[in-house]
Amino acid sequence: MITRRQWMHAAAGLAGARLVRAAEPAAATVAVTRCRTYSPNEVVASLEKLFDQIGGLGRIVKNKTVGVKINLTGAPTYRLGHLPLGETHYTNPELIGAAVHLMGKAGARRIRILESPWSTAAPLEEYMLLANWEPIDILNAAPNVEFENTNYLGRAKQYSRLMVPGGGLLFPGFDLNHSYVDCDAFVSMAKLKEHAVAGVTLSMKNCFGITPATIYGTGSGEQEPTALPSGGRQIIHSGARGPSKTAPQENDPTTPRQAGYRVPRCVVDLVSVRPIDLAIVDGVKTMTGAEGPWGREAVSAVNPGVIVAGTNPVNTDAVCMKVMGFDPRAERGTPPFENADSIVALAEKTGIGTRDLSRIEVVGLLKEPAFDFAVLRRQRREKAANRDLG
Amino acid sequence: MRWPAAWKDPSLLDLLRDSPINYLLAANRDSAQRLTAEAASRGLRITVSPEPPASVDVVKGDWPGTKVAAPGESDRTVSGPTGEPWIDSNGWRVLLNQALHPRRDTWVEALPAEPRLYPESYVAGVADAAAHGARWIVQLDAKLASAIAAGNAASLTTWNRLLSAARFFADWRWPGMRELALVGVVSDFTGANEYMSQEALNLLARANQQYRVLPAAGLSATSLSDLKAVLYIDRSPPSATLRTLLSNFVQQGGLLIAGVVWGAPTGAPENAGYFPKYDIRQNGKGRIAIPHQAEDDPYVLVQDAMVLISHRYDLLRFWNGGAVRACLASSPDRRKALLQLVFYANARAGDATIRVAGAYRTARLFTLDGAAKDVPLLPEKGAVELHLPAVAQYGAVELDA
Repeated sequence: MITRRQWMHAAAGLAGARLVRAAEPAAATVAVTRCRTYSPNEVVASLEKLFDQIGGLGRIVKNKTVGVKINLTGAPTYRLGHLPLGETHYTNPELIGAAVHLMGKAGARRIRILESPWSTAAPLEEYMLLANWEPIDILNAAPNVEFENTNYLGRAKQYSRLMVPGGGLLFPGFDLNHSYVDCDAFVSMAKLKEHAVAGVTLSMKNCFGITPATIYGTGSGEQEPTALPSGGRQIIHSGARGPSKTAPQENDPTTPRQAGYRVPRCVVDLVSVRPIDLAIVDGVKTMTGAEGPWGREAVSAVNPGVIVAGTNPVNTDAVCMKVMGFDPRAERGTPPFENADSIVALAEKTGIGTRDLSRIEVVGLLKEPAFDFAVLRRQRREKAANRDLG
Repeated sequence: MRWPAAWKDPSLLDLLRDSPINYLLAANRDSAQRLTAEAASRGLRITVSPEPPASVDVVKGDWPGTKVAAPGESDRTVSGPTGEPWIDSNGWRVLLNQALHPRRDTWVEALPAEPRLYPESYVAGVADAAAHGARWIVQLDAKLASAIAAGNAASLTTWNRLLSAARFFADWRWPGMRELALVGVVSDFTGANEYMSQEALNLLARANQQYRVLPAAGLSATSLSDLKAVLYIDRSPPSATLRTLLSNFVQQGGLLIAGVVWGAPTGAPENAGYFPKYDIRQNGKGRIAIPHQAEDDPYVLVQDAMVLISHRYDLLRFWNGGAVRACLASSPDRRKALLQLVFYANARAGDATIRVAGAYRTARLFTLDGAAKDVPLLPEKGAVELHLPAVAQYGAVELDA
């Protein structure tokens, strides 16, 4: 049997191969559960239930090296008010610890916690300490847990090149930290949030951060990667210049230089090169108005009290959107995609999965939004418009 | 205070009445004599001289504040080693002078400069020096001096704010506190070692690390007490005495980060993990880290040092602190601590959260306007988290165990 890692290596060697599109994009079970707090007992029980509902964790992680991309967007010294980062815009550490614990219990051979933290090559553990987390709690949650800062070369001698099956919407391929290739199963542990550019940020948008800033960052070298990462990924947003010339350059430099065009396509390309085997979206406590406290709109902390999980990221994100009160079939120009193309729509067109809720088996709550981000968004924008008029 | 050239009218001496300013630096001897006579005739107890007192060292510094990027400057010039704003502060210069000349007073000469000539800049100028135990030689930019002389109301308000800040420090209510530190920098701080050692102090301060300046001459085991780590980055090998002191520090559990001049470290090698640049050895209860190749960039060296030491041991952590510098001190019995905060931005810092290592039960904030208020405090394992209200240029948080 071919492992996921073998498949990844094979795919990397098949540059230019066309993706064979299924007649209908995939649909898999997505589970939604209430989880009101981050108390370890409640979080473990909630995740256990979710994993059972989507067919069990063992089939995804048993005897495998598992890469878990968490979301630590922005500097760890930036809070929304006085609130801990895990209660607003970072994936919560208790949830990470609980997932790691359950992965260990399900037989994962090795678990690597991955993130490209803001503008640093410091170990992820040190970044977590700055966020006031205790990384040892995550390390001890299961056997063989490691951290890797993927914002630079890291422990490898060279970057791993992954080419997009089908050629890519924006980039034909990416040079990434080895951890995204050296894993048999890949998990995206995201936060349920709105996003200033992409409308929403869920399991797929979380993967925007797998790109190393040494190549794709504001401070990256034009000719070759810098040794240390610096700045955000503004060059992907704006297209003002390409990534370091050693990496694959974008397919068509005449396409719009707009973040709302570029970011969603880049995300879909990334999810194509590094498929997500398990998507977990933390909506227990989060924030509205933006992906971090720096948002230009009025931002506030909210407690939707929900966790969503699924094996297909498009299905999972579509359900998340419904949970947030948005229509997953929304197109550009309608909330939450007023200024951007829809990542779920592009991913669906690419064949990664369906956003059609009628085709997705949803287990758990979905009769009404767990927390109506959409209503808040509308009220916030109406208020801002009235203020501008006044 | 340096008497402004624009203040021709000696009656302006009345501006100093009941103020904490008690020493005037005049342009020359004649001017000093004239002002002395005027002050005496007005009943003002002020010393006027063209020179500072003999017991004072004057440290030349930068006008404190946030670094403003010029077009084309890299983002490294406007953000420090932790990505926080790049702040010009004279604190490290003051601490260096105090360490080299412990029996002398330190005054800071820092000329107000564009673009930071706001009322808040003057308050920050006073606080930046005073929080580190020095005094800023009050100097007014020419425009402000003229406006004050002309009786401009807004300028007089700026003047009164400046005096109010100076009065707060003159009436200092926390004597006998000793600075707490995590890391010490050992050097002679001169000659070939001046650049690296002094830049290390500057950069540690910018990263809000609590550090101790340790002149190599006269270093004792006592001066290393309570430190987690020591940097020895001089270009010449340590003397036999210094080597023994630092080796003992390591034996007792400290971390020594030294330059290649230290020589090959002994002890069991430690898995370098994220630090392939360093040969890290366990030695006694502590560790020695020596780079495989000489590191000439103090910025990289300080970044490495902070991670080698680990943020686990940070005495302070900030969230939403903005352009802030902090000095943490404690009473000899460790029952009381004082956290001084200098905010360099003009806008009042809001929503700042600070984690202070140690077990404290109460926190009280004192500000320059004389107000004192309790600060919400959340206990954590081995630390407390303070939720500060909006604070202008300076705040002192008194913590009680």
